[in-house]
Amino acid sequence: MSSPVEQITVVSSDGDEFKMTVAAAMQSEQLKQMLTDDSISIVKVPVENISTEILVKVIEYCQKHADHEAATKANGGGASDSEAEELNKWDAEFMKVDVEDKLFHILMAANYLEIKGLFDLACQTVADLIKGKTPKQIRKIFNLKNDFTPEEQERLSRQHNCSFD
Amino acid sequence: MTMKQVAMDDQMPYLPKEIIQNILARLPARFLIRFLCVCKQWKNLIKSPSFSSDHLLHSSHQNPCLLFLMRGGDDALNWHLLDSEMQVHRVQNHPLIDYLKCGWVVGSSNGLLCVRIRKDGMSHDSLLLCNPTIREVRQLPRATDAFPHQNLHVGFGFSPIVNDYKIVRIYVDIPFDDMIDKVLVYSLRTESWKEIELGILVGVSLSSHGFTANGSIFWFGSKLKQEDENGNLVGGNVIISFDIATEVFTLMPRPALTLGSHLKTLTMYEKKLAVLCCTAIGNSKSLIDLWVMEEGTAASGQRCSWTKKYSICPYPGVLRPLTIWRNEVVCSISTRREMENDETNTILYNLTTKEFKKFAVSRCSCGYHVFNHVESLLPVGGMKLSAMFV
Repeated sequence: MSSPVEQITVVSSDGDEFKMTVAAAMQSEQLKQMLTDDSISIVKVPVENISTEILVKVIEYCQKHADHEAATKANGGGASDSEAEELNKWDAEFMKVDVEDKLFHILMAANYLEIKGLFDLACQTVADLIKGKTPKQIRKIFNLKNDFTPEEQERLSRQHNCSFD
Repeated sequence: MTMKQVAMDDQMPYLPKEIIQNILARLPARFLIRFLCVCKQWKNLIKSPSFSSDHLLHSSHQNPCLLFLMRGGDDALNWHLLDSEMQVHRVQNHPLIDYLKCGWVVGSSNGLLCVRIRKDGMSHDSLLLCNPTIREVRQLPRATDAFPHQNLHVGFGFSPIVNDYKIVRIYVDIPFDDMIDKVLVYSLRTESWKEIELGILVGVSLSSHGFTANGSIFWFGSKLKQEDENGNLVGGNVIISFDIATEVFTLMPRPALTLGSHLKTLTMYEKKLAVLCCTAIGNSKSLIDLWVMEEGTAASGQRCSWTKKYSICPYPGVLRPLTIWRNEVVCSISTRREMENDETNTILYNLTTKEFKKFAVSRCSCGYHVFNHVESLLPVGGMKLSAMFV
């Protein structure tokens, strides 16, 4: 005889609690599974590897996209071109983060919670970010080591006319 | 700042391989070549067959390109790539292809080009397979040479049904209006040539370059008019189609053009076979029509039918339609026009906005060829050429 769930609470790895509407939570396949499984009664959902800072951003994305979906449904199904473009603009602004590793944390969070839209958006943002970078800059961003031997470097350079810097 | 935030791990999270693959698959091949040098993990990932296929899929949808084949002053090959962001890039070819100078492209499939080489004084022509993005070249085994009274037409394409690339050599007799004499087909999988029976091609002449789309290769041609069993005259202008998977030739009707309208080229529009025609209006204007082939319905009893989809409003100049790329009709502009001194050599017509756009792809005062192309990382397979071409 429980009343329908309107909100759920998610707990960040820092221990902070945040309320999410069910509509927003449904943007995440993980949370959706839990919500639609009648055998589970949800009180609080801990998301162990997502910090407060990142969780706030993720919830913001989910809420915005849930609202957009609801508005589209109310208008009879099809989103107009201008509405879709407005959402794209919002997404672009949303992804403008000040530090690169914040971007990666959002990507990992979207992956963990299975939020397809945010995951694709984050992957594309990273792709656009690294497009024009040199191998040296890439290594710095992804924390990678140049593990080629000098002979291997020479061979690669010759074959593909690329530089290692 | 609370105690919790100070204790937070600020380090870059380690991204699993699948996620790196997802990110890299979105990049144009050109950048991925550069990233081979980042580290071994990335090199192995980028060069893996599963990644190449995944990347090709992304590339085909997000970044379809145009390959412009031009010749420089000293007859050198000047190949340029136009990407979907309207940037022009010079194609750095495999040194062998640049050295040969006499190659011309037969076709492009999945980022692989089939190049035909015929040097003056040589008694035969040769075929190469190359991927200009990864700078790999592979020579194909020799096939029968054409006789002096013959011309040779070559077609190249890929079929996902048999997961194979095939090359078609059609030998035509010049004294008989380019009537088809023999057909050889090469399969990359079996690495061998075999002769195909002419069958329906008896009495058929070829009159264009091949165009590959949807797992088939198409040519304009005509069948010798003959009387059928009812005494009716059948034959006439056709489109010859070669199914790459089944290796079967079929003949299809051409669109019924109005008088004065000339067939210019086969192309593809919205995944259907299409034809671009041109009607010259005096010496200074041209009207271009786009015809699209629709699958026939059971009711009509026809296998296929042609519909005129667009009539492009006249352009002040004589245009030669070449192909359709994304939503644009790509045309070269006649070099005899003297109206403008700029280097415009290409006109793009957008089928949605109905606007013309002028473009200059490198300096080129002579005609050029254009191919729809996609940059891919697919290897050309087999033994790669390292020695000089003999």
